[in-house]
Amino acid sequence: MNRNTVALNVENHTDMKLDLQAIRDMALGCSFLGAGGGSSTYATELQLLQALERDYADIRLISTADLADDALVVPCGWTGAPGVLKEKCPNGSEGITGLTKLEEVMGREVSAVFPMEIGGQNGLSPLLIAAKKGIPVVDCDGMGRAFPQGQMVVFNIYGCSATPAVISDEHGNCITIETTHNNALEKLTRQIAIGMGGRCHKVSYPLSGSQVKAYAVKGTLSLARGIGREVRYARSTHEDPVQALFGYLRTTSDYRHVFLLFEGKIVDIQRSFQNGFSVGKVIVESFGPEKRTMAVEFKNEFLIARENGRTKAMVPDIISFVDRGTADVVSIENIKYGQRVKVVAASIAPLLRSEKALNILGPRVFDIEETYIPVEKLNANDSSDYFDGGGIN
Amino acid sequence: MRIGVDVGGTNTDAVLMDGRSIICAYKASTTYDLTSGILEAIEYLLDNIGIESSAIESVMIGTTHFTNALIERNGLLEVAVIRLASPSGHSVVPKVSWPEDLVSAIGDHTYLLPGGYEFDGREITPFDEEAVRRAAKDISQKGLKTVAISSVYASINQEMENRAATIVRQENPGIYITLSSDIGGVGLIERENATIMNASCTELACRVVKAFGEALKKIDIIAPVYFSQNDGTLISGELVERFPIFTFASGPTNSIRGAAFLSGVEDGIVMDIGGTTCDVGVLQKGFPRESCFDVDIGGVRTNFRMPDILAIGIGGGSRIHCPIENLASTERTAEVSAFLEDVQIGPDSVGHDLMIHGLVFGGDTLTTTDISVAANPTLAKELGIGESERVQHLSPIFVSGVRAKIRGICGDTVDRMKTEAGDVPVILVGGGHILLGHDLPGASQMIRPRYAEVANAVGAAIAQIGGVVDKIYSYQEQSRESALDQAKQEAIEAALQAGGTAGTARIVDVEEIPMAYVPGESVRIKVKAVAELKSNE
Repeated sequence: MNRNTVALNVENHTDMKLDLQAIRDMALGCSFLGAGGGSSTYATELQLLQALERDYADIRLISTADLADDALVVPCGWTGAPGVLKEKCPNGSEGITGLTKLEEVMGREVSAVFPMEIGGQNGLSPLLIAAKKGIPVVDCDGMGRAFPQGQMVVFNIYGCSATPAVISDEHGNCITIETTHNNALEKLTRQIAIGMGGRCHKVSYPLSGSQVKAYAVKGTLSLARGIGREVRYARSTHEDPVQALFGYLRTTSDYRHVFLLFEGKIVDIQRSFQNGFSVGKVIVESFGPEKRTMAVEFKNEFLIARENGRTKAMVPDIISFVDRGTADVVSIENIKYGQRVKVVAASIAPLLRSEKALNILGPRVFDIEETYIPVEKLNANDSSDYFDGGGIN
Repeated sequence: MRIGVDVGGTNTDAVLMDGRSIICAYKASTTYDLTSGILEAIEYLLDNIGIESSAIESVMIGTTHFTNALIERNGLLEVAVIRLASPSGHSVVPKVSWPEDLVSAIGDHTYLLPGGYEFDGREITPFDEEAVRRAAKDISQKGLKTVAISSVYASINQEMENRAATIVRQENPGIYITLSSDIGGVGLIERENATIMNASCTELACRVVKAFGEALKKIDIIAPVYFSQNDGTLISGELVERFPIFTFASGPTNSIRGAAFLSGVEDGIVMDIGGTTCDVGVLQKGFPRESCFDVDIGGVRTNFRMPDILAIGIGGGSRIHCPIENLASTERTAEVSAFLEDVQIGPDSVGHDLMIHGLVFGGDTLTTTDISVAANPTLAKELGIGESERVQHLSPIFVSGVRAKIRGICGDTVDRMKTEAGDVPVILVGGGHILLGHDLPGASQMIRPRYAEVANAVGAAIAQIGGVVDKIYSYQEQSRESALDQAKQEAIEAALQAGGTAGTARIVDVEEIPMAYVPGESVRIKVKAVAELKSNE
């Protein structure tokens, strides 16, 4: 039987081929959903450009509903230092090495892949694997944004096993891991990443089609594409791209509470290393004469934004910096003194705001001594809401 | 005394300077061969002041010639590209995102070979001497004249690139070689792009530098020749022969630096108003503010430090398009008010034919300069621009309406470029500075320095010598202080080695970028030092 007929509920299936424009749009959306982290999408865009234009690959996107319940579906992504990708680009075979090994270990074929996290370049890299392997990519992810650690994923919240998992590198080396606790995989992977040159590919949380349908954050690749498309349209018609971003997010159910928290100039950026993470704080100062400031703390991704000490948004809600004029996303690794940015916050899927989720990825996990309050509550009475009176409640 | 020259696409400007004072300036047309325009300008300066060629101690040249060669795909060599990285990087081969016509000008000669380093200096794969030799022989067989060599983390260790260069040279004596570690910067793709572009221009660079030298010899100038680079500092002609890419985008830098010098302002906004566009840049402590985002040149992304410039399509020669005939001169004010919104400024321009086509010069085309002269005949007279009588027929409400539009667009652009709240000084340079009057929203004052028209050439003449270090350090292996000191010292040494005066060197920029997730507290440190050029004093 053909691999794809295993993957798909043939009757419902909504297979869509992705072109370069779609990928560029997705890249901008993924950058926004990266919440400041997730690593730049540029090198991965180039890989996809090469795959499409030189290797004539097909990248096919299907919806979760298209999956057969018993299909083997695997989330993919990279772990390690985003800075390494600027120098050492992938061979392109890493994901295939991992999936092939996983198939061997599990004794069955993988029917489809999808991004473990939609944020940053990890939202795009599974498209390349899908193209090379000739299988579809599923329109969903495991985080609805980017998080710094592997266990901060919906499948862990629902108690799915992270293993068997396979870590691989550009030489074709791979390591199969079985763990007794999902947190152990994250710790081991980070050590292996260092050995593999700072960055490695990981396939983990092998799932059934029905698990994906039940647990995944759905439609996020389309969401990312929609964000990029609306921003691009706005730029081409000389409308405000940031307003277009807001307008689009408000049409979604998970991300519809979107707020302009602050607008100003970066006046300070403090960074340090703590246990292998980039930790620090950015200070943004307003343009007006009254000199308001906003402090935004981060651990790889943005965690909490406070204006003059008053909390305006916190993890797991998305905080992102965008360029005032173009809506280009300014990721933490690229923040520089003097940049003029808009600080934007958006809500996230209700599942990621549940008590169970907050124990895994909420503010206290990041040593922030505050109880999580959704961004729309924090900004409910704010008269400085952006465009059409702010978020929809 | 020294001479600064700006060789632009249209004009070749030259200034004669003695220490910090300007003696004389001249504007010539840029000629096809470049050198006769330069000769005309320099000879004028010498004759006008009546000094001997031997009084000239140095010549500084700013040129857009190599940038234009790339943009026009003109005079480029085919390039062999050797990348030491395999098996990494196969998913992004060299030139993958380049415009097709540029790729066809440069050819497809790519060698993906073993090698490269990890972030911590380990080898990705060992250097393969035999593989490099095979490539070198293939290059020889193809008869290629120039090679670009790149490797992963070349900024940590350039040994593999050096070894490859030695082998390539053994098989191809006299071949041009550009190493990515000499170009510098972190980011393989951007650095490799710049390396390839540089390699493609090397023959042209040798030819142009030689021609400049010979031209100057003809008029008995034996002084050393320097070239402006994109960060406002100078490099020698010998370095330009090897690294023409370092002169890319020196034009905007020179105009901002020239504006700073002419006005004496260290922090402010510079508007360089030409015939077709207005380039707005920011002056910070006497230097141009650099762009935060990566910069495309001729459709190729590079890691170059470039001034942060916002260009708008309004210049002194921009045409004014009216939605109905005679709107500009009608006395029916209601009609003017109704249609003013539809009046369009530019983006097309009469360019350097303004003196023929502009109304104030007796032509028949309504331009932005005509509006400015009509609005401010006193200033026009002061600056000696056109005849205001020729635009007396324009309706005052039309003139003030269009002028408000120009002011609005320029004011908005200034606001977008500002780094802090509050009004800042705005310095106007370039031939089209009449466009703006004595005030602008967001400007604390409008400064129109003398010699504003030749600010670029002045910028070239007053440039300093720079030294840059951009490397990754491990704070576990050495303390932060010692790493910073080492980087600063290296930058200063680089500046002195390039012709700076000892004792004048200062550090102008220090940037620390921790490499996220990488252990060993790896940090990228960028330091830039500048020094006064020996001959400037």
